[in-house]
Amino acid sequence: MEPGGDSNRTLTQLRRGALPHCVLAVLADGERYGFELIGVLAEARGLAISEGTIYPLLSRLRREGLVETSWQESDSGPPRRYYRLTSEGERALANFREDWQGYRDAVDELLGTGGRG
Amino acid sequence: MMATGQELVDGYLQRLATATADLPPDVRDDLLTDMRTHLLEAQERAASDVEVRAALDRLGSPEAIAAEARGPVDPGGAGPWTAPPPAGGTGWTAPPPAAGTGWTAPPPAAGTGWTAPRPRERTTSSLGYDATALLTLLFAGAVLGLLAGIVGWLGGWIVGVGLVWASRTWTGGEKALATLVWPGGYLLPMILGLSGSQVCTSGSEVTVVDELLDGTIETYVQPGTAIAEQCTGFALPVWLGIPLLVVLVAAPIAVAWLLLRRGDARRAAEREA
Repeated sequence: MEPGGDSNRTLTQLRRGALPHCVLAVLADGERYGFELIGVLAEARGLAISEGTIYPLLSRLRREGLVETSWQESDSGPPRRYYRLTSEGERALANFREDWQGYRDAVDELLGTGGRG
Repeated sequence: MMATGQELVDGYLQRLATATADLPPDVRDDLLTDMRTHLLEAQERAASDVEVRAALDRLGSPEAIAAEARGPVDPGGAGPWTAPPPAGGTGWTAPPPAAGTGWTAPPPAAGTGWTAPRPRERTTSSLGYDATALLTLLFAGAVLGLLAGIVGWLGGWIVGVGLVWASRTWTGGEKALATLVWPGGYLLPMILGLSGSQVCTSGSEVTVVDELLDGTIETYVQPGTAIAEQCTGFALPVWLGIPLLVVLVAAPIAVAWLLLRRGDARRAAEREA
């Protein structure tokens, strides 16, 4: 760790770490197909996602049993692979929400960045 | 002249296919399907080739996606598709016996060129490896025995045993079962037939090979008697010898089948873990 060094690097790592749960959070609102899901994530500019890496991530989440998929025909265009949360995914998301709040509050307090919220 | 949107997409997918060539096929196919579907959606919505290009830019480089698919950067999660480390440490090396037979030992599961960023110890070998080991155990001795006599036959069987013991899939008990149910390939039928007679030995071996290659047990009666005729000294009576030999042919295949099924179950469990 080099606090004086590259803060971009730190941020990149934080983004990477939080991204799986951001994906789970988007899917908590209902099932989405890949292209659509990525559109939602891309709108959250602060996440700074690289769109293509979402698919390997989704694949991993599926192997871990946190999401499940199904192919569905679309009215326009190719069939779509829909992703939805499993109950295990819901639990993982709930856990992370709690952990994240504790972590965020602690960092905010130490950095003095908690005032805005 | 600038490439069309379709050409750009094709080129991108081609690069991705190349960059992911080292991934396990199921992971790779999955990823390529997802990306192809994504790009079809993108093309559908794009009003121009410029927009297609922008969609490709947002995806990031195929190489970066391939790297992501190889495993998360954070420790501890290289994923279930981690390549098994080369089967070292067993102390076993396999010089293919009886050169010139055209048969060579399959290399230990290495040399695919793909290594996980953080290989995690896994507890199974691949289906391909296990199947190779079992097939070698069952047939290499017989085939080599045909071509190179007793040396090839024993050597082939020993290579098979080595491959089986080098697999991570099975327990020691299962490996022992595979080894003992086929002790020395057809050593047992030979010993039963006649001790120490070379003529009898090669005779029984060849007939058993024929039997295996034909895959039919019924045709065994003729070769079975042939064995008895070739053995000048002591021979088993036909009523005992034939059932015994049928069991000796069937049992190893049954054991191999059992081990293959267990390996499958273990691999499935590991994939889910």
